Amino acid sequence: MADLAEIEARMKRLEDIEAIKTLKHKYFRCLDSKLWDELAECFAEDATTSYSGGKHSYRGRDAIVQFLREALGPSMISMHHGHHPEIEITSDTTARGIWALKDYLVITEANMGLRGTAFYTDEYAKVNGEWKIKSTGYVRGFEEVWDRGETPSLKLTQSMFGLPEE
Amino acid sequence: MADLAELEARIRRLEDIEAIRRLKYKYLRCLDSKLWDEFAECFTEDATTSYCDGQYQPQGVYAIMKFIKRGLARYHFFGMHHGHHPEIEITGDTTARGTWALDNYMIDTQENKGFLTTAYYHDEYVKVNGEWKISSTGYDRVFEEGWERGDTPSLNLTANMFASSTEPV
Repeated sequence: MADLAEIEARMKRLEDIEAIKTLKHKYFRCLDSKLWDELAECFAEDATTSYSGGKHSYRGRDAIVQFLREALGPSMISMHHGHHPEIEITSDTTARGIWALKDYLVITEANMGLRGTAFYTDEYAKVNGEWKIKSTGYVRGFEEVWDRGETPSLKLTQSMFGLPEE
Repeated sequence: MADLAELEARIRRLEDIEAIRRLKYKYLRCLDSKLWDEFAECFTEDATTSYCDGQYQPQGVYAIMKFIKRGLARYHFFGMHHGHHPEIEITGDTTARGTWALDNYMIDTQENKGFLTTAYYHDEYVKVNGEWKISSTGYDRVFEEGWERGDTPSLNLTANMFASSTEPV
């Protein structure tokens, strides 16, 4: 029969998985809400990235957040939804995870639309009792872009960052 | 107060639910990545299916793989199968069932067509040698629509994980 220590360890594993899912959810929320300071909290100080199959590789929390802030500037209205977490706890303070991404963007300056999918491969570290992203990167499933002007009736009616001038 | 045995049972239930969700995520990841050997691991040997509102019912992992590959092994047909809203019910130590919502977007570059489908999956799972497997799966479509990608002349595929893959013979 299970003893208390074993039950505690199994409970802890479930709590860690839940905490890592919440961390990734926060990452996506901050990305789409352009909450850059809060986004920075998601990363370990020495985190690394390999976005877009390694095309955007950065080292260090500040460099990563700087890149994301520039890539998702005011003319990029975005939806990044992360699904399908496959989280594996590899020790008391390390874990890895795979996620599926669905993204949809309105690029107001160019009046372009973008739709895509990707698979994220992440590593996480528990730093002072809190899970952080230690490394992250994705490979695109597909990505497509189009001219929103080809659908003449298409009209952006709300944006948390303000609507572009008519 | 809860005793150890009861606590253990409650934790096991949560572990089983998490393991079954992961199983389905692996199934969907392998489907969209065309990782067929890993995809086959998700099923029991004698799994049954009822795909496409019951239109296709391959039985057994061999027949299931043959059916899935016939539809999806071609590299010019790819896209997104995302599963949401898991309602997992553990029905015994080694049995469970679950329903899932499917968000499915597909691109056929050969025919230059697009498809959007939503559906609900109804699955059954069994634990074999300590690992959860799909013993039965199938989905009923809520809606499906298709279009000519050429209707949007500017539509441009800018990334495709199979772009450099060679078609299987």
